[in-house]
Amino acid sequence: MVEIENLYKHYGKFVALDHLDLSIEKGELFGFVGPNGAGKTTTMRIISGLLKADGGQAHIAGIDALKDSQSLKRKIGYMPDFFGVYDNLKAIEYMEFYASIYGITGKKSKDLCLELMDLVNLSDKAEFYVDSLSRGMKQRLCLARSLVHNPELLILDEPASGLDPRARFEMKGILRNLHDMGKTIVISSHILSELAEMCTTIGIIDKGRIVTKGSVEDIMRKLNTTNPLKIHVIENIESAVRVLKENPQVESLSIDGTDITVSLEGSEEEEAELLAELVKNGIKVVSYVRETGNLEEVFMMVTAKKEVLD
Amino acid sequence: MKINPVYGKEIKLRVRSVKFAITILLFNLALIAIALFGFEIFFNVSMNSRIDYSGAVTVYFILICLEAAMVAFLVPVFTAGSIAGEREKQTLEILLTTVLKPMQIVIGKLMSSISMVLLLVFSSLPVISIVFTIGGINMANLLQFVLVIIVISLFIGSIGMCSSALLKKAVPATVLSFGILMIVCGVTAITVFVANTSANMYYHSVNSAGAYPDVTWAGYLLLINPAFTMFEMVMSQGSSENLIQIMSSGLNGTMPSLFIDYWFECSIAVQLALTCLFLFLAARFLDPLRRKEKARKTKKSKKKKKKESGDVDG
Ligand SMILES: Nc1ncnc2c1ncn2[C@@H]1O[C@H](COP(=O)(O)OP(=O)(O)O)[C@@H](O)[C@H]1O
Ligand SMILES: [Mg+2]
Repeated sequence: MVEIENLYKHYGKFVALDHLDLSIEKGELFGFVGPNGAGKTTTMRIISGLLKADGGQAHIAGIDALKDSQSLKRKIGYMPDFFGVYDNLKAIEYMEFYASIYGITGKKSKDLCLELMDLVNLSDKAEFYVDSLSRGMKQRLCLARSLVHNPELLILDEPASGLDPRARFEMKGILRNLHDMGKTIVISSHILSELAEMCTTIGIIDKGRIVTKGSVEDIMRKLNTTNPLKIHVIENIESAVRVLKENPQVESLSIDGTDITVSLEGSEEEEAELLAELVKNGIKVVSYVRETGNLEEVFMMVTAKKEVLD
Repeated sequence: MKINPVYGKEIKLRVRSVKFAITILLFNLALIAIALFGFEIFFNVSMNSRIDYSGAVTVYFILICLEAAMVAFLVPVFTAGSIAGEREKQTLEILLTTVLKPMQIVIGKLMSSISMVLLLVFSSLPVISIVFTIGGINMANLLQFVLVIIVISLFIGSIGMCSSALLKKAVPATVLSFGILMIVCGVTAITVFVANTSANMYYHSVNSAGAYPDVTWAGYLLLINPAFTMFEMVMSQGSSENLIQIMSSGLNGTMPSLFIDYWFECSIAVQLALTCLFLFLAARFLDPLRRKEKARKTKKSKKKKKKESGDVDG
């Protein structure tokens, strides 16, 4: 459904997308996760035909998204991270306006719009003016709006940000519903846990690159080996750090008093060898534990790793 | 015929607002007041038994010039706010991800903005035709005025659309469109005046070759000036003398008879061509894949630089 290769985008000297590769299968509910400024919005705007790429390829549903933006727009429904609504329209009129853009008018339009508003639990608000709706409702209305032309791919940029927990929960339910109906959905967030339970696949982006991608379980498994090792030593912390730094498998480390947190990518064997080496160097290791990370820590590890070592 | 969806929505919003109905009412009341006041001056004060047709004609000219001035003032305000306003309210981006082409958005916005203004003008035609009851002006004159108003609205509207698509905020876009309008109307007229004056000064200076220099080229600039088109129309409706002939001899030369005889048609054609050009530019500015993003870039990179240097200090 989505094939992105080598996508490149810079703003002046700042590289926002650094040869990004990403592929999303039909029917996936894809979670696009990364810290603020990672390039999620930039990617989504490019594949929605709102922003020009500086290099690379992007195909959506077989269409060259960078060239044929007119056909592209029939295939996608896009919801921006920040958007406004026409306040002086009623919710149903708001929907009908977008339907009219796709040539749907009259009774057909009204039926379709009511059906879509029902899908996002807004059917009782049809006659309300848009500016009287809450933020969560506006968000859902905008989602319904993005469905008027029955797009194959939904691109939703941080649809849950700024919503209260109840509204978030409702949004999640709707998205799951849409997914069950067979829509391919890309949804971005800067909070991994927000997407983890709902998405079929997660892609983590950082500094304009995809760091890792897979099902939530995959990622957890893959990353468990990179979970931080917590080492507690007594005395001689400097030499401990020296030994750790000499080990090529150690990717980063931080020190907090006598606690050392190490990011080490390697098998359990290698983990054991490192411990042996510490002990051999006369360091008194009190505890040596691989953290069973929670999602957020995993996320922090993946996205922060490169910086710590520099 | 399928109507432009943007046009449809805007018209629906405008027409159902009470404000609009009140505006139409007040506008026409004001026109009636001016007309009656004019008739009072021309017919009653002179107190003679003869009816002076030229008085009625003068009232008519005052009315249509007022309407033209209103168009020149309102159209930029409406059009300049149309796209920049959507950008400000963050509704434009969604519109751009729909299948609407930039040109359709531009046309829809332009048409809805100027049809509001034109509706004001049309609603006042009955008031204006009061003069018909007195005479001196005929139906053809009125139709010519309607044509000029439509062309002027399109032309000025296209300037407004261009500014609106180019700039991010409604207020600067309005300022820019009035700026361009000022150049189109003011600068062309001033150029003609300056060319004429300096030609005469040259003639009276010592090294004059014995003839006035021909500066009719400056006269052609007035083809793009909608105020002059209006002025020329009023003159040709009100008198038998040819304004263009007078102007070209004032500029010490002659113009081809095409311009002398068909100035009105020529200027309308030129202004419609410019309208197309401005609309094309507006659509281009609106197209996200053709437009380069700039303002944000410079601001952000500056901020970033500041932050970086701050980090070094700290
Ligand atoms: N128009 C722009 N001009 C300059 N820099 C930009 C612009 N848009 C985005 N950026 C920068 O590009 C980076 C990626 O932005 P974005 O894609 O919005 O990230 P995300 O959505 O993941 O938070 C950010 O560092 C942001 O500052
Ligand atoms: Mg973003």
